[in-house]
Amino acid sequence: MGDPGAAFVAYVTARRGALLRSATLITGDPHTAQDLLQDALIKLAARWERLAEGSPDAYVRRVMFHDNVSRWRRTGREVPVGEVAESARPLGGSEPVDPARAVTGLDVRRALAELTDKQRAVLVLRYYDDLSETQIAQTLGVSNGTVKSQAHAALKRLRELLPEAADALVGSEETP
Amino acid sequence: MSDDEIRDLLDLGVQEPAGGDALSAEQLWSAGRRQRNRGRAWLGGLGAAAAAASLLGIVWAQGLAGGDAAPPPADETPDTMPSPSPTVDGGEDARGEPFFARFESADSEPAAQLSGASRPATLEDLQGTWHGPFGELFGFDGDTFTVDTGAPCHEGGSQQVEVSPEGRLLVADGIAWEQVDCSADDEGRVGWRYALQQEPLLSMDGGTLIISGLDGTSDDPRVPVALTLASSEPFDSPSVWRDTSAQTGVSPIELGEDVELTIVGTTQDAALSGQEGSGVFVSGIGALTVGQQDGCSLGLTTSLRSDGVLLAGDARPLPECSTGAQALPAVAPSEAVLHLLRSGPTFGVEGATMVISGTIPESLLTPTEPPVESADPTEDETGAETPTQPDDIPLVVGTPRVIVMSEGEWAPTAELTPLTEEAATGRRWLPVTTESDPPEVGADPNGDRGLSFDGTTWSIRDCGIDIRVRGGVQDGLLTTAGEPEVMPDPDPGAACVFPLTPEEWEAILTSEPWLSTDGEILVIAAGADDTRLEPVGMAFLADGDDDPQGGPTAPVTLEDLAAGLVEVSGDVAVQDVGVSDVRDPQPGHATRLSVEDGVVSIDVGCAEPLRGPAWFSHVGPEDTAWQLTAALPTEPDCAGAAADDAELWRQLLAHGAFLHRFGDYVIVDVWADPELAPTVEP
Repeated sequence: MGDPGAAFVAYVTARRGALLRSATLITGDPHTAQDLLQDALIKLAARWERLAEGSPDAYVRRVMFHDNVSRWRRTGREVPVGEVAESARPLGGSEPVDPARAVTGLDVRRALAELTDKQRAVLVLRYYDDLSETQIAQTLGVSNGTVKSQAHAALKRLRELLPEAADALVGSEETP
Repeated sequence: MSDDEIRDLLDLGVQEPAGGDALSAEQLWSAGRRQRNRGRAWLGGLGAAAAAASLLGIVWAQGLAGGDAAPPPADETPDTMPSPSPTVDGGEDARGEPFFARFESADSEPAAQLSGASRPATLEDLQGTWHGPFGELFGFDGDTFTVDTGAPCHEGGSQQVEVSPEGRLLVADGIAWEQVDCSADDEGRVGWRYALQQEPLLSMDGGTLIISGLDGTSDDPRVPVALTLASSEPFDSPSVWRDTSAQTGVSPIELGEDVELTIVGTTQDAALSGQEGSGVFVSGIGALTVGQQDGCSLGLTTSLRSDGVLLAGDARPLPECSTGAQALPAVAPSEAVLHLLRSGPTFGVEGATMVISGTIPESLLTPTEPPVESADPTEDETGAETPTQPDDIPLVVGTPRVIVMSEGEWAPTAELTPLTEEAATGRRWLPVTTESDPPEVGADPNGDRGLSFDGTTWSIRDCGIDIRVRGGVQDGLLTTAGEPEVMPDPDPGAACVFPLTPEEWEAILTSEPWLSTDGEILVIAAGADDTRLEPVGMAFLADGDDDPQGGPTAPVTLEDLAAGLVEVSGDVAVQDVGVSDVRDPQPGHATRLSVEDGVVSIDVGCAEPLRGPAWFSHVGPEDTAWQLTAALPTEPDCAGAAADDAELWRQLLAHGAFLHRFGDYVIVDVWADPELAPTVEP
């Protein structure tokens, strides 16, 4: 067996960027995401021998999801500074939809912030990390049916929040 | 195609990942291994945890609030050498990088170099104007302190200040800084705006004012550590010191193999100077170097205060390292050592042993300090599952047990307060049988039975038991000095029944138990053995709540408890509520808990619900920190998993379980024997 520390360093070097982007989508804030990912990687290092042969990604994602829930359980949901005023207004509410208006990154982040933790996690794992329903169910510790229903609810909510992108927001499992 | 479009849309929402502050993969590895070896760290985010620590006497493996709690001395390790003072490197919440700045009086010639001996400054010493190393101008006029950070920014302001007896600058309401849109990035310049809020130390070395402390620029918690060194010729100058076995209970760090610390100091005869202790003591340190014997070393400008605090500036390569044949890079000792030396550590010499005790950032603390040359954390050889020394200190030790006593009739108010020495002196409490309903206070036929305290000695007298031990009690913590005196067979011929044997009482009194009172009732929370406890979390809901929601943290009330709570299954507690360290000995059984009229009732599936006297007390500064304590039966009428659950609950409530609300959920945080139930994994 090789040097476990070197293997861990190699894993982090290879996977950190992708995991950080997922964490950013889950938390809505790059700094919180950085903390969340670092905490998860530290936990991974503590259990590396046990997890290295399996799926370290799945473990890190699971820890990030649960820690994110724990974080706001303790501190309350936080809206990144600077987005408070904008996120306070209903997205896609009374304002007329301009189909020509391009959806911005801020729009997406604000919309994601409106989802429940589980909906957001399912969406990110399904469409961003490209995990299967079964893999998501294992990661989040829920049933396949819950994954499907949460993804459906998440996309439905996003369509309401981002009417400009409604046409695009039809998941493959929702197509007839 | 739609999936791809959703993917693209999400991609749009990804902000540029935060950079700069990220730990390297190597640092993550080290931190993870340290976490594993240290044992279980509990959820530090909860205010209840801090309250728990203070009330239960739990020692954080890592210090909170600036490292103000140190691990206890290891067994059989005398703690005769100086321990780190919580206030040495800054106020209780001080954070950041150490700084050291010399200021010269405008009224006198600058000193060419420090004398190496200093003392805490007083407000009287400070009167006048002082010039700092980057053109700073600090002025003291009475108790008014005026700051000008110098060119180019000239930030500043003034404020009333105090100077503590140890020379700490206390700015009562913070300095009203004039806003200046300016930055000065001179290397070594202190960010005074934050540093002055950290209660820096002011010291006088001759006519030079030294301002030192932490600069408040990082949030890294600091942890206490100690460097223990030995010298074959300790009273020479220079004297050379190398690692020796640690002699304090705090986490040791080492210089490393072949690295030595050299001190150019002055010594004085202790007897002539009225000092206690060994015959000679170090009265001043003019210079200090760290490095390898035949290589270039790093030098630090230093001054030793009269109270044993070592002040040290930046570590720089010695001048000879950069010239001629000696032009070699300086040998860098570990960062931990340099941080310690610059943290304002206490410095003590006893014979040929020196202990330097201070703090370092938590991130620099490794289970076994790596050799100086090894900066590669992947060389960490901690592959074994067995925790390693030195900081493998459990948070709580001893299977919890609770003993209830009373001075008179059973009349609880259901709230506990820590016992103080004043309140304890002259009182005597008799054993209480908590299994009866209501609890029954024991008889005292001769007027001499029970646990008593006369101000200096604790005594327990019962049939067949007569034990005395010198000691005291402070904020609920009973401490003893010396061995207990156990009278053999004090009641010859008597047919004694022992709810607690003499040996058990001896163990309880010497285990530093926590004492709390409710009027005439005394509740003793003790640890019975060497079992290492681990955190336990659970979640409950009001009976009948079918649509629970998480939400803001709030206190639990007696009304909540009176209405009854039902345990949430372990899986749900972990996955949906996010509780840490969940234990669920009976996954198919929902434990019911209620408290009414000072009695807790817990149904874990035994023949009868577990019942016992209970107290619900507010602890610590957080309004959400409430603790449920109870004395539950030790022998429930059940077996198997239900019996394990019953024992888990007995332990949880013996030392008090912390409860808080998370929306509709009631979260329970406490410690217990990990053998009773495994953690429910996420």
